[in-house]
Amino acid sequence: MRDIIVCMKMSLKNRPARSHPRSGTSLMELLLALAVLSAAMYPVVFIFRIGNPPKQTNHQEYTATLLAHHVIETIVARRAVNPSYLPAMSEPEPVVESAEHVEPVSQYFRNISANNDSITETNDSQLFWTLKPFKCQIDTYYLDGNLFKAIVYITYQREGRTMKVFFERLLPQKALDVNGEGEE
Amino acid sequence: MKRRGELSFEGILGVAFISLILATAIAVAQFYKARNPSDPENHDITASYNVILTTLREDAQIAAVAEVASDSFTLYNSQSDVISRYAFIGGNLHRFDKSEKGEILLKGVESVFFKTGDELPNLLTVKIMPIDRMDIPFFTSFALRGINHDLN
Repeated sequence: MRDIIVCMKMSLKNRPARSHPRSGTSLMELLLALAVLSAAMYPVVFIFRIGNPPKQTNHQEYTATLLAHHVIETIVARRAVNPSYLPAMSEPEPVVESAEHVEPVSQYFRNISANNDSITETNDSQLFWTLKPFKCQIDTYYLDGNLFKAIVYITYQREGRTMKVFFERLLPQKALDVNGEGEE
Repeated sequence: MKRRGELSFEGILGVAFISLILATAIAVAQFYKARNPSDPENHDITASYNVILTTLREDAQIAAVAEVASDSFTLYNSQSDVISRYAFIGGNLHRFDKSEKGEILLKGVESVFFKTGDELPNLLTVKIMPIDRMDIPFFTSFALRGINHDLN
């Protein structure tokens, strides 16, 4: 029994002495904790960003939206004056008059200046350069139930790609009788 | 033997951790800045344009007639009651309701142009040119639907 106690005392004496934790180790642990916490903020911020869609800050896209709104509202106003009016299909056409454009100005943008002309570089320089990149195209479809669908595309180039903003509207159309005349 | 200028392993780890913390702090600061609309650097005129678009669309839903002057226009319903008046005064675009209570819709306006067509008197075209040439102009039209509610 005595031998055992002596051996235990010996083994305790022979145990390597624990070094005191250095201040460097504590600092490292603190930095590690901060780094892990910082990294953990990335997914939190990312989820927050996904949850809040970014504002519409693309000015070209916003201008295209305003132009598509202008075309749809013009169609609505024309139908108020003439209920049988249906918009015609068109290829992409410029919205301002320029020597560079071989196509005619879209009919929805022909009388929009102060003197009832198209926008040109001379009559409205700032608006001309803002609207010059945009083109207007109309697609139309006849649908069942005497419905007519008009889709307005405003296209523009962005980083080499053609971007499109489109509005569509369903319009009730008059049924055509055998004489080709419209009736409600 | 540690050579002169050589970092210890703990030193390298410390630099890496500090870099990570700084990068996160910068990312979060930039994120906050981008999300804070009150910051003048994040001024976006499209937010003001959205207000104009929404307000004018609401008024155009019930308006039947637009009376256009050089710097203002007034919207009337089918009973010829005033719905609202929009006016360009002192570089700002104002909206006055039927009781003439006014509010500023947009500040920093250089010029405005309002128009209704001869062929389409029920189509109001609005053009707003901001003073800051870096901002986009506002150009669109509104069909006055007050006469024919079937258009809505």
